[in-house]
Amino acid sequence: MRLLTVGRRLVYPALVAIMVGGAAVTYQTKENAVAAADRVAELRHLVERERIALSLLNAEWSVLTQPSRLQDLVDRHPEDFQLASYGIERVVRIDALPWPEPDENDVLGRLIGGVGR
Amino acid sequence: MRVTTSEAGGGIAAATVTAEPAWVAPAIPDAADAGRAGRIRVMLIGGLFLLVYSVIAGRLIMLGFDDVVPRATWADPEAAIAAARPDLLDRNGEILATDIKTSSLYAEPRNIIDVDEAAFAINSVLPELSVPWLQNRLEGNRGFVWLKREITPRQQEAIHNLGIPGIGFLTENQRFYPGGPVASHLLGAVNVDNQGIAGIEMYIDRNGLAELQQYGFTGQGTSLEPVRLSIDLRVQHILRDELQNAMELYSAIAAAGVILDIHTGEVLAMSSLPDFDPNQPAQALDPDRLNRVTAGVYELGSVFKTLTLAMGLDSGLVNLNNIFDASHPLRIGGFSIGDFHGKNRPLTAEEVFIYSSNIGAGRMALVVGPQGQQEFFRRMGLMDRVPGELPERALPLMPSSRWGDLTTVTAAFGHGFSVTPFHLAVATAALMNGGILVEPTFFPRDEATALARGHRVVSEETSQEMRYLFRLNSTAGSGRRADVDGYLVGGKTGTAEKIVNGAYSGSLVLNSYLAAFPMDDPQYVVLIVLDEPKALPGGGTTAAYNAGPTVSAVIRRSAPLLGVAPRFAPFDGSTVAAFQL
Repeated sequence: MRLLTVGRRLVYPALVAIMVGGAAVTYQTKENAVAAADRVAELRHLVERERIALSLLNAEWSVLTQPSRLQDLVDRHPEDFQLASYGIERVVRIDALPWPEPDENDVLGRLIGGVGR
Repeated sequence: MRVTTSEAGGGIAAATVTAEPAWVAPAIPDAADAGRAGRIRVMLIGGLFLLVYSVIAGRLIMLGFDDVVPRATWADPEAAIAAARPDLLDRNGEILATDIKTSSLYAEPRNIIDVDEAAFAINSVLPELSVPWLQNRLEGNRGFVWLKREITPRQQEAIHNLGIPGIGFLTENQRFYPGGPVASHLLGAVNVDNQGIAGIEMYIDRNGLAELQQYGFTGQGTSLEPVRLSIDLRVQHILRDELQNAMELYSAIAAAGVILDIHTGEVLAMSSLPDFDPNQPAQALDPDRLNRVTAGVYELGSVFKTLTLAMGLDSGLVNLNNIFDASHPLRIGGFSIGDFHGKNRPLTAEEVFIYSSNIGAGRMALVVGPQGQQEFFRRMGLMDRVPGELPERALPLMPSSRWGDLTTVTAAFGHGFSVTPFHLAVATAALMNGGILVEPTFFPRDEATALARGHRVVSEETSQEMRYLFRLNSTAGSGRRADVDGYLVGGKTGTAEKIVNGAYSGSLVLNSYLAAFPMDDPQYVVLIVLDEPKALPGGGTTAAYNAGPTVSAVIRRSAPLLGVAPRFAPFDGSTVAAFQL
């Protein structure tokens, strides 16, 4: 009976402690969640910034590699580039190229074994 | 949820209440009634608390499902204003049009604490804004002033890092075309609100993007799927470059060209000069810069004999060996029709084509008759608005009078009936690909889809005969200057006298060259039109001297990029015989 009374006396402080503890954990969790959400928002913002930068760089790259621009540059600085238009007679299919016949004594050649044929 | 909770709680409460008498009852043994009343009171209070707690629990569960709102908001309020557009890519993924962010710098003078400090700080980043000007601008109690529109991201970063109160940025999407004018007529342009006002940009708006914008799905930060077009930027550049060269070389006032895949109907390149820079869309309003390929109609002249031959052959009334008397001018309706390079003798149908005889073509059209000719033109799509996705598409210009024999004869060699160059290119694609008229498109498409949507307009045999004639004209006729070694170009020249003050001018011409290649297995149709080219020393003004070499140059440069491999060895004089049916 006495033990029961002591138990009853302890129940309330214990419940209060659990409640306070629970509240603390809940608050902590909520703080963590908000912090994580902030981090997500910040990362989203950074991703967006990178995306904008990327699209700007893509646009810039596209300007720099425009065929008309490259052609102008090559025409203007022939001595630097040393480039000339290729004639159509230089365009062939790969199967039309005369590959050398494989040499029976060529170990390396056998290893590669008719690559490109 | 709440019901279950309260039921479960009710069980516990009941247990507590029934257990109570075990230790409360001995304290007040003579108050059984009061005890019962107390028990009811306790139960009531217990029930009330249960209710309150279950409401709180329920609310907590609801909150748990809510999204967590971050304390700091990074989203810009103006972000929703500027509309985004999808990037436009060419068939290889090169950027043709893209959105770039531009920031504009503004100030709220009433929120600025120290005007001098702010002025000096901004001046350190933007030296072009002088300190006195800034001081003047930032003073006073105004709510909003622009300081500078469209600053670079780097400048924005620097000013942001200065941390001046009362200074802010508005960012907006700006449409940017990295290639400038290279594909201007095709791509079109956008207005200040980023809405398409011409070309494919306008087509995209009409097909869903405008609705998306209206309902706010295209704010900044939303990335739309890029739109891929059928054109090849490299080939587009080559076409435009060669047209420019031709305009300069032959002092032409305008030039236009188109390259079409005959099997899929895809437009690989399309250019019309003079063109405009879509980054400065105001230029597009100049009427001289219209898209001559799809929006300008012309009497295209002898290239039309291609259609006349196809009409004759497909009708079954004419074969390649029929003789048409071109020994003297054709008199009809009080007019006399003669030949430019007159042979003054009877010609076979084949010779009518390669010597480009107006008399012969006229006689051939008369065999088919006005009704048959109109029916054929309608079948080839020449009587309707030119197809394709561009908003700038012209209707053909019909003869003003009745379509009688005279009209039939003149239309046979491309006069008195005006169509756009695109009309002709699309119709020719059908004559080359085996007889299927495929609707042209500016978006990628495969052959199966194209065939499913196309329909037969001429027979397979007619198509083969037309291929033969095209190739023959390049080896034995007026098209020799358009040939490219290894590529078996075939085609037809057209030199149309322009109408000046109501009469055909003897000196001003509109020249065209309608070509296909490679003729043993045609893949592409190329049409070049030069407006008022002048003769070079030792040359002539006919299409063979200017449009022909231009086609040749375009094909020589672009064919390898279009995936057509050149072939040399087995093709020589015997080629033509091999084509003989």
